[in-house]
Amino acid sequence: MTNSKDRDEDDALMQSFRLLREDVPEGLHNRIVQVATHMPQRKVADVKTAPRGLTAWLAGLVPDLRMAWAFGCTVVAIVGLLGLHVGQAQTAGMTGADETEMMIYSIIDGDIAWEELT
Amino acid sequence: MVLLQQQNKDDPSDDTLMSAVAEGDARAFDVLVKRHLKRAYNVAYGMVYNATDAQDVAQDAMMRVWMYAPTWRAGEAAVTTWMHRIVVNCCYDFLRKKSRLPQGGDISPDIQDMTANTENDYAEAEKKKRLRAMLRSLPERQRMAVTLCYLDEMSNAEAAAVMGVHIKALEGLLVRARKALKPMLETLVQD
Repeated sequence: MTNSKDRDEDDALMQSFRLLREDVPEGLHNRIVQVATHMPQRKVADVKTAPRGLTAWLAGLVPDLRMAWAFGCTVVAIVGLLGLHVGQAQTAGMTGADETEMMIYSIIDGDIAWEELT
Repeated sequence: MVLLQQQNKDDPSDDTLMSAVAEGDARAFDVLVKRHLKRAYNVAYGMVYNATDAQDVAQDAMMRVWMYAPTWRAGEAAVTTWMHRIVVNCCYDFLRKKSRLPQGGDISPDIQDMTANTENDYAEAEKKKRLRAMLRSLPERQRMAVTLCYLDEMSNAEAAAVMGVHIKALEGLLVRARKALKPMLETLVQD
């Protein structure tokens, strides 16, 4: 509420700038029309035409596609790295467990038990 | 129906005029300039340092309107927005050129402000002079936002379209400008 009141007060102050409106100096209008209409106009062919229809749609899509590719690649890279990390951790864990089991079985049953396990 | 057609003939829309200008119709250009020159001139005057420079900028802008009229396409942008965008670009070009000039002497006092006769005229001229000095104290983009929204009374959406910025960015510029101008304007009102 206070913000809105402040804003209204500020706006009222800013209305002072309306005072700066001036009339167009005499002769400016005629001078412009005289000078400008003697100048050559750009031909439409000179100007790079904006794409329309399918081309415009494709042109609009390209930045989106780029974004999609960038996003997709990032996701794939993150998932890949994560997978690699988890895989390594699992392998390391399993190896540790196997070794422990191997040792245990070696002690209790000897090498035959290990072979059965694997 | 006949009356409406007659009215359209007497007072053609901006779009109709622009289409005619694009085909090299000098008369249509004359009407278009008559309709929009005051706003263009005032926007330019809000941005540059004196009336002479504002005339140059407005003339340059209107000449570009004539030259580039064939590139305008109905429906893509309103004629007013398109023309204002040209004026804004001309202002920035002018200020860039001015900034390259050696300082001193190029910011001449405004003759119009010094032609006051009566005491009231003098007080008003003085007030205008102070307001222009306040505008000049703002950075370019804030000055443009204030000029378009308060001097030219454009809506925020229109002004944002003319400046080629998002409406939130324009609002940000206005907030900063109001903050900077508030103490100066309060002093002006008190005086």
